[in-house]
Amino acid sequence: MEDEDAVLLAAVCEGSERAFNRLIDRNQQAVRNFLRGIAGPDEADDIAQETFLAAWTHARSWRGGASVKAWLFSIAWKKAKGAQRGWFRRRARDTAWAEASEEQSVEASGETRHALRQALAALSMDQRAAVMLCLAYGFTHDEAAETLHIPLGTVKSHVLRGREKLREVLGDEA
Amino acid sequence: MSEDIDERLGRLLREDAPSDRSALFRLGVLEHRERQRFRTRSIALAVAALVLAAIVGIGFNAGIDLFATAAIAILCALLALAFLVSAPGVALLLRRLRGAGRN
Repeated sequence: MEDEDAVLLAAVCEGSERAFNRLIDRNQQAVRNFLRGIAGPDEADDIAQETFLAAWTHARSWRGGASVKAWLFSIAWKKAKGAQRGWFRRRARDTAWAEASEEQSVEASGETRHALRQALAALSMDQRAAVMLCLAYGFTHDEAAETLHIPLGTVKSHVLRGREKLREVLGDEA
Repeated sequence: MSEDIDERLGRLLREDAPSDRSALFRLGVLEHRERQRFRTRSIALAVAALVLAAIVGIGFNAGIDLFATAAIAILCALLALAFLVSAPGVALLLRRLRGAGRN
């Protein structure tokens, strides 16, 4: 499966629109979900679009070391951090996201998922990213550290702390 | 037990993912890309127009006659156009030659 992404990316480097469309189809769900976890549902799709646009423009920068998915997540992470930099935007976004998480309490999603979203929203952005990569997408700590460009020890600490907070939610539900 | 909870966490974190296939999202990306291309082309055209205007202005001020100035401006424009049209092909050829050289 990962080989197909590599083949598609090589075709994108040659300017293949078809390969680019296929690459988007294969990876959009994971990238968008990752961004929903770290940047909130309102911003996620915009940042995801910018991510794939950057992938098209800079396809040649993929060196083949990490997986294509990890490379896409790395771009998504940089875009999300860039979007977060404006202080006022950050305050407004975090507040809106926390409020939206509360407002969605009685939607179709269960209470557990709602509580989990709230717990995730309460973590720092770096912690959310580490948790999403390692717990949701099965990245090893090394892979997550490489993708997020943060030290391995920091990733381990983030995952440990994030896992504890999220487990409290499941612990209450068990 | 600890692994079960981690698996459950992973599953819950993935459960809110958007749908597996989203033509709408893909169209959004392509639209975004076309807007970016349009912006780049517009800026390039604006810069080209300014450069041509500068050439004509300088030529005029330097006392070169209008016909010669216009000829110089058109020549510059044609050279720039030739460069823009051929640059991607040249770049692709160079990459292939480099790749062949490495092999």
